[in-house]
Amino acid sequence: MKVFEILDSRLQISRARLTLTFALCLLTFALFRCNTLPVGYDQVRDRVTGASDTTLVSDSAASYARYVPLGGSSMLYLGRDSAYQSRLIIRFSIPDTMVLDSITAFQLVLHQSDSTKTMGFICRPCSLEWQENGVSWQMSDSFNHWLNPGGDYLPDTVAAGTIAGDSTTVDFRYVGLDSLRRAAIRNAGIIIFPQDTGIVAIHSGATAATAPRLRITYTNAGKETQRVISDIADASLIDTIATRSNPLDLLVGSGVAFRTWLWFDVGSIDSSATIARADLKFRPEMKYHRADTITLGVSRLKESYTQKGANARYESLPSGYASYYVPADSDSVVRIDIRSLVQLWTSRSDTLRNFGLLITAAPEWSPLFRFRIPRTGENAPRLEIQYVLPPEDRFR
Amino acid sequence: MKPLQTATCKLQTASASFILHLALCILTFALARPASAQSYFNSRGLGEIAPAGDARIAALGEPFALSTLNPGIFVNLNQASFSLSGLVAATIGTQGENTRVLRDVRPATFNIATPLPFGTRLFGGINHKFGQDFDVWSDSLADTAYRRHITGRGGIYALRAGLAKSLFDKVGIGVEYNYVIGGSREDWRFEIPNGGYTSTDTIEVDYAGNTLKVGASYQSRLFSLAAYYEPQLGLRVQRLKRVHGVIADSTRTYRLSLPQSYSFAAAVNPVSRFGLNLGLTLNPWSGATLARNDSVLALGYKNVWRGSFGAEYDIDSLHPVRVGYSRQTWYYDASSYPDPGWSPVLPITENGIHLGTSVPIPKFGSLDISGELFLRNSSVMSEAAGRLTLTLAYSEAWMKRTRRWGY
Repeated sequence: MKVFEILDSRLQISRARLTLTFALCLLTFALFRCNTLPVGYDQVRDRVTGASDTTLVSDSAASYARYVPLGGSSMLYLGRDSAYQSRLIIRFSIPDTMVLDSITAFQLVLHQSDSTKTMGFICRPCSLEWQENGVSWQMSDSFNHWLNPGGDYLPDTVAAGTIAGDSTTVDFRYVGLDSLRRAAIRNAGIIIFPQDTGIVAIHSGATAATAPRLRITYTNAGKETQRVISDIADASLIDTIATRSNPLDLLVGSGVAFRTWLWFDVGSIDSSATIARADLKFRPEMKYHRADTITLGVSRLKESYTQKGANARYESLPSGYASYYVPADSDSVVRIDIRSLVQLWTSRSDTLRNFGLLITAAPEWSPLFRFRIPRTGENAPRLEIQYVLPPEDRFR
Repeated sequence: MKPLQTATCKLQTASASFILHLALCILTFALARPASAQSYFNSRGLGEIAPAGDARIAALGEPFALSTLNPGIFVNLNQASFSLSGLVAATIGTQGENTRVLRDVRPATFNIATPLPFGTRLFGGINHKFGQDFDVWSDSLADTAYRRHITGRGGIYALRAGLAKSLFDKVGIGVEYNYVIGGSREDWRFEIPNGGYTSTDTIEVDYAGNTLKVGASYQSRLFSLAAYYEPQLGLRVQRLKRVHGVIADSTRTYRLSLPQSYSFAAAVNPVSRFGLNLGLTLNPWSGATLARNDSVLALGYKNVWRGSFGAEYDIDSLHPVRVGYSRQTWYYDASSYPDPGWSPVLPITENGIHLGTSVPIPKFGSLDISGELFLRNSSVMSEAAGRLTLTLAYSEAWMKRTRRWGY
């Protein structure tokens, strides 16, 4: 028994030592864990050449509106209100060899993104061919205008109904039309006109499962058969009365694109400086919005705005993005990180001239919104920059 | 005899336990967050003069002339031997009310030597000459949360090869060629909110040079004398600076000239189990220059010395205990930038306490262990550095070590 007692006693001592060691390690860890206090910084401070904060206000500013092509978007907008109206233009790949005698039903199917909304509508054949990547309220493609802004169409109503719920199916009058009108629908598609106030969002052809489609029911060898024809091109045609607002207003908006150009003089920043932070800030006055979250982008201009105006080219991929929540809970200031853009302006000023930046909706087919940026005052755009200069050498 | 053996055994157990605990604590330092740093002063000059890296010598206060850094130390060498060292270091820096700890675990040195006919020896190794690791943070800048974080990694090493000759089993002379090579990389970061950062600049420096070293020693049963001389070291320094945001590189080449060094040591063994030693190293480096193109600049280094005192007592034939003390002034000054009356002349003084022992490894050699504590002071900052060095020394097939210095 004594042997066991001794063994037990030794085991306990061993455990106690282990516990002590473990506690010591934990204590060491807690007491001496790495912190980031500025110990020893003085030893390199004479090599630090400088870090500066500067806040710039825009030296020049302007705004313009443009009917931009809205084809290829994920969402289509149909409706009208006091500020905007939006039509849909859709084209289907309807074969011209279709045997019409066997067709028992010809229907148009649309899918809505917000099933709580309703919207009456009518469809008319479009009379002029158009291109999805160039079609807008004013243009049928990149080079040709509609004869009438908002799309050229035939007066015949080929479908009418009310969008409600997740999806809407209405009869589409195709079989009964003459060959001329059928050809117009095959070649140029249809335009859908809103009949009520309000704006609804319709899924575009970007998602196959919810794309606008024609559902055709026909008899084949005495058996009823269905065939679905999805759309091959679609776009929203959006107009707004806001284009006739005060030309001095700095506006940013989607649908009908409102873009604001700003130019900041960053010439005072040394070309060898590394931009640590560059935030474009302003507090917008919201004029119109149909979503609580809007996304903005800032793009670098590649040409002089003062020379080319609204035709000045800009980088298609924005240099910075920001989401703005309307209404904001705490801070309603828009803050866009454009550090990379300012770095380009300062360090490569010889090859990439500073022509300023454009604030746009990102993307410009996002849910309709429009806001005004104050030109002056504390809410006006300002560019807060923090930059650092390269350190001196170790040996000098 | 039995009480003495028991006492010895208890002392060994206590000592081993203490070393184990100390090693565990230091390893915990290192693992807590391994920010490497040898000294907060390492951002200046060529950095800290690295230790010899031999735990046995380190425990005696590091008399360099008695270490394998002296090419003339190889008087007694019966067969091929080598040693491999690693160290764990922790540095506590204190400036004003702030205290910060950095840890480091790294290999330190490798040495090998083999006897040749006619009393000659061939030896070589890799030694750390200067350490340039540092890690510092700035205060918040301009009333914002932004801060600079600057880290340096690197150092200068010597690839050593030499020949020595033993005369009369008491005198050794040797000459050693050093290919000096090194590099450092400084990352200058600019911290931004939410834990992110912008890496603003990187400065990379490469060093290369050659030098010869000559040394001699006299070793007898009662006393030993040793000295070596290291002539002027010419370093070609190439600096590459990358400014990340600007995407620009710039290169500069310098010629750095570091004057000669001398190291002396003496040891006496009044009784067989007890020895004393003194070490003195002179670095008259006030003439250090930096040349670029046609201009030559004085680097502003100083003539400094390092003195050490050490003692070794053999508890029994296998278990020595070593203690030492060292004092030195660093060859460059600390910066006193924030002082209102800014003056760059602020010497860094260092006092060190050294302890150590050896654990025999049958049929192999020994594991030498040293623990050192350094207190460094300048008028702007002080630091306490702890260093645990472990040297695995392969020497004679297990037998009592009759030699005192070298292998």
